Amino acid sequence: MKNQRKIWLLIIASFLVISCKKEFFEPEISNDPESIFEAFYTDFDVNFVNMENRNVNWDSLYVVYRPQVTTQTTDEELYQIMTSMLAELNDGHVSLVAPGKDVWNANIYYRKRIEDDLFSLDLIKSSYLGSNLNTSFNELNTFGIIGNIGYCHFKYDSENILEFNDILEGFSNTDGLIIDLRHNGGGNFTTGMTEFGRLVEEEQLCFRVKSKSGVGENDFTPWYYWSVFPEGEFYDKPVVVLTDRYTISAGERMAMVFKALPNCTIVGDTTNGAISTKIGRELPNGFFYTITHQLVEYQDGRNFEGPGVPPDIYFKNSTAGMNSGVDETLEYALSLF
Amino acid sequence: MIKKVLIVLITLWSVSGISQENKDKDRINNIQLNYGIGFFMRQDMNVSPMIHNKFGAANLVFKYERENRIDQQVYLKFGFYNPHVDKEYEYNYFSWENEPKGTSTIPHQFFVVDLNYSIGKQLLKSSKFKFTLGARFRNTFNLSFYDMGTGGQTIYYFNSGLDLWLRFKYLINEKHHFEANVGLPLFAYVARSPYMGQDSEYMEGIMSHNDMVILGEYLKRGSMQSWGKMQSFDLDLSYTYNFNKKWSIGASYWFALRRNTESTQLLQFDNTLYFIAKYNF
Repeated sequence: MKNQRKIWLLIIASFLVISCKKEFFEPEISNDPESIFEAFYTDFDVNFVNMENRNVNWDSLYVVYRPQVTTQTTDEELYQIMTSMLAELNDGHVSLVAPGKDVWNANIYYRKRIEDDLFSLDLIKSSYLGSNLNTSFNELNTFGIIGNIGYCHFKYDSENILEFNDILEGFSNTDGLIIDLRHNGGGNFTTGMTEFGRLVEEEQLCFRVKSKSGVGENDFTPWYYWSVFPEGEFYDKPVVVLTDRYTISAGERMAMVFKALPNCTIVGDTTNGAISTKIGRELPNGFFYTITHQLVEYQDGRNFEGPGVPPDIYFKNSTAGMNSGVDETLEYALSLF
Repeated sequence: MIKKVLIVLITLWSVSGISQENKDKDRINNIQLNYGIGFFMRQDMNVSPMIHNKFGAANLVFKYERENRIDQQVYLKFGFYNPHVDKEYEYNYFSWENEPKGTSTIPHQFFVVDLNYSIGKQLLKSSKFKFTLGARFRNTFNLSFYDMGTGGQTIYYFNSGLDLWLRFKYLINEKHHFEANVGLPLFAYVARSPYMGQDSEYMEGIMSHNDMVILGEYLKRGSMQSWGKMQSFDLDLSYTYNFNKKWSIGASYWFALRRNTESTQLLQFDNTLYFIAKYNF
């Protein structure tokens, strides 16, 4: 009898919590097309802080696209509407994931693979590194000596960057260094911040960041300053860094780091322009999207979000050159030493 | 903060004359293993407005208890839940070589851990009834992995503080016992993932490339909070049946509420029904 009473108490207590869901919690997004669209619009309206840099009037887009969403809108139609809206942002850090589809990227270069073939790591391996070819970290790092110049390419910025100093050590008898960030897919930029200490003689401020800290229009963290600090023997030889339109995310923050360093020259095309950290979000119909919520400014106050990090020397491979097996940008970089 | 908590605990310990306890003849120790099924609900507005809820069968409590004029409890409570807003599905992402690769969404993963130490003085005691009032040094640590397609998030919530601890024990008869414990927070050190899960300090935390150092960096980002921004409530009700002087079995219901409003609302409820195996010594 006592046991029965206790079990009933437990059931009632659990029921109370579950039934009071609406009283305790903030309103959820309802799983209907209009609510989903409104939540999606509001999230970008509140948290996406680079509308101006990207020349987008989000409210105007709302006026255009909101009437297209009704209670009868299917997920497929909603997907089309949302991607049309996001395409205006042209942000490589904004993406949409939906059932059975390819990841959709808001950046036109990534989405349509524009000029993707103006870089080929295979070409560099076969035509330039040849027998000097080395790889490490599951081939995320490709390096070797070309002529008397050290060359290393990083596919991503993750734990693989932690091998940078070992690679540099192997180039001790060379005349300089080429760091190739073309088609660098990003990752965790902090790996670079800790590993490039040999490239500075004194603390070097690179960029500053502030992030949204709340839903209010002016809710931001204070500026956070990112610097490279000297560590180990100073590498006093010239460094050339290569970038292209597929250098993205943490790859771009690394480009900003190198741009700020005294003995580094950036050669190539402008980077992608997706520098702010991306944040994953979910919707009740199963869609996921990514959004950015930071302002990132180069040491001199310029914001490269959108336009991308400009090279010091603009240089771009040509299709004809690639077809004939020549990486003109790399050859130009080699000529600078 | 830790120093303050230690001072409070040591004061309680010394004032209550716990050093005399060893001389008492009626001391009782027990260790318990609880295994249970729970229902968990969480809405962390920093991450998502969705309310994540799920039943979970991976709930354990290891508990040591000492009853005398001074009662003490220490327990480690572990729970795991893997809710999903919608059903799982397949999609394609692109490798560095731009090759499409199939993958699947996965549920979120919530790890919920509590390590608590309670000490209190028996204020009322009869042959049937005991009432204990004291303090609980509570440590809640939640680590969560949110799968958001191409943008997964690691989210933490740490709450370490001092609670008011109330304990009621009712001896129905020699075989049947009923017990209730209540914890109400006084103040706590709270460290929680920033708004939207990441900011520059968060990134600085991961710069060490060492998981334990990263964890330490996260925990350092907290602040002292009281009822204004942080609320919690812990309740457990248990019934035990004594087979003999050494062994007991039973069932218990645990309820935990965690709420934090720095900077947006985090609210979670944890309801768990446990089976108890207890060894008295």
